[in-house]
Amino acid sequence: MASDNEELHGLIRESVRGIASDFDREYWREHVDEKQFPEEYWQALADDGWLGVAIPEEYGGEGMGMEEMTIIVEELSRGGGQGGIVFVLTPVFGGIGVTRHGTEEQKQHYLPKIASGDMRFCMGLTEAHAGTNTLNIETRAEKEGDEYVVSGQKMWISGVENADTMLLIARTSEFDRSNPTHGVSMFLVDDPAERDAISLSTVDVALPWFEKQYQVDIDGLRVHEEDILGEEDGGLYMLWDTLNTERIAGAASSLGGGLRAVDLAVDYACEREVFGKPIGAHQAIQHPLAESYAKLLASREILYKAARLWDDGEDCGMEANAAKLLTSEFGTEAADRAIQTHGGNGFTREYEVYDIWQNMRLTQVAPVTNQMAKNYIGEHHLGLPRSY
Amino acid sequence: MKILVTVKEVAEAEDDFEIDGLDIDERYLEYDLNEWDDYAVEEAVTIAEDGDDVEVVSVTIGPERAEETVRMALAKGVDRAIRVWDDDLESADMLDVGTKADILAAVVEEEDPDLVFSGVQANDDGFGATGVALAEVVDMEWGAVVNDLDLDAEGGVAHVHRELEGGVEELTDIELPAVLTIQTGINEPRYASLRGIRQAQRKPLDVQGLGDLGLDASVLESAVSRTAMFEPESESDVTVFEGGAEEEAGQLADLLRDKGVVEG
Repeated sequence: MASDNEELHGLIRESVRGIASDFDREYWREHVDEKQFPEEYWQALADDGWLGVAIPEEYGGEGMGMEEMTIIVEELSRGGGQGGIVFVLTPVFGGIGVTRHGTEEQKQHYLPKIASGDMRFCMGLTEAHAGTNTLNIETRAEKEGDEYVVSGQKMWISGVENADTMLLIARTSEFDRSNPTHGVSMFLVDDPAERDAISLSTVDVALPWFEKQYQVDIDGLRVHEEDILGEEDGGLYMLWDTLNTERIAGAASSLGGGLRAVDLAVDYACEREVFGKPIGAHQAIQHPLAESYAKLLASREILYKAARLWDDGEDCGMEANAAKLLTSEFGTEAADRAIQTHGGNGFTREYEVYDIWQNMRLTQVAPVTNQMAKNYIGEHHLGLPRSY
Repeated sequence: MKILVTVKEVAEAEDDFEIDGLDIDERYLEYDLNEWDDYAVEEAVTIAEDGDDVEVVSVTIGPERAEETVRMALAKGVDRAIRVWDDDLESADMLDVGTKADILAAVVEEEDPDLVFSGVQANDDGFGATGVALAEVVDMEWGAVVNDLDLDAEGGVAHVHRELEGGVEELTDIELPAVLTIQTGINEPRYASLRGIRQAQRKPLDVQGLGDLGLDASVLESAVSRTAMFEPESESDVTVFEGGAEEEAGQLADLLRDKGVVEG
């Protein structure tokens, strides 16, 4: 069946490339400048079934896996605007989270809308005082009858203004050193920006991206117990379960962004003539681009290995973290070299490469730092002592 | 109603390429669906979606490699596909318009479609004649370079706009069965949806040889042969005028006089 899959994946790549090519530099710049959600792009992805790629068929999706999602995200980001990253919050955290851990009612409510493009998610996890150490989160949910009352503060929350539902992480039981990942729950909070108990303040972030970033203050937010996703106190288990898919989708976007930087640099280096021939004829320009391309193709291999392992139900922690680490580093490096290739033009908005660099640089920090990815590999795969 | 769409996988050469004998060196070629055929597929699929009981069948003459192109047509909504190929076709030096028309005519006889769509031309060899030649062989009505189609299936008439030269259009009615050659811009070809791509994997793709179509290798005989392949010298002769409007007008006048375009 390998050859059938190859053909299927080839057709997926070609169609997604077509869609990406309909949304040009001007479109993305406008949405970044105006901080507008790219509705037409999102709807085009929904209409042709791409958002529902990994949602089961009985809930309106296409029932495929992370391998296909990875192809889609890679091609979208390579096609421009680094648009593939839009998959992370909704089809990944929302779609895969609800598919794997939702009740039947939650699945029926959320999944068809994710596939049809009518439902968008944001993720309320990070807190200023906890940072990477998620176990230290201070947002608390107290049970009152059949409701929880949630209070606390979240930081660096993207896209709340566009979200129909927030996945909100709060502590429901005291921290227990003997069972550290117990005691945190994940809540589905509909219309987060509309809720009286939630107030938003924007954080001024210098990234060329359409989403705003927020500090989210939550004071007495009432959430019904039926709106817990997964088990009470089992939110971190659920989060860890979904994180590998987030790593994979994020890495796919970094890979696509890095390859786009190389594509743009190659085009420029073939066109631009100084000293009587194209600058790409000089090895000082050519070799860095060739090396970046080689690095990105190598990281692509481990990325797809991670995706296939996930689809086969195997542990993919090592591969997903390696893909996250390598694509973010190689992608940033490729963008840096693309800027150098462009000379002064590399810093104009018209040539896009500086935008790519800024967004690629972020992928070394978010959604998790590369240091934490290395910690994972060191501790869990190499068996080194825990280092933090 | 049945619509047969002829599709072709075309070769695209890289910007820099080398010629090997009578062809462009294979290393410099990439293959894709002919642009005009993409519009023909879209036109047929749209008619099928808007109408009741319309079957769309695509046919291509090409090697196994062409199946990816054919699958994409299936993913866009074509119901089933036929690929014509065998060892005789494989060993042929070239397929001229007459050969292609004869092969496609055999498929038309087998399928008995009400409409045949073909692209106006192929963007590799660019004969631009296969559709009309096919109509001639199967004795169907035809309309070439159709850029607007309003089909009256019950009345058995296609109201079409044909693109003529100089921005002139001919509005004409063509009785079915007919062959229409489809011009780019007649519609906006879709991208295949993920569901379409998945379904395409299960749609029938039938491979037929010349024998299956009641033909033999004699159909490959041709009065046309390729005798040479070369890249024409491009005459790069650009004059850039510089100065104010009057100076530039003067320079242009001098140039036109020098070239003998104007006298005096």
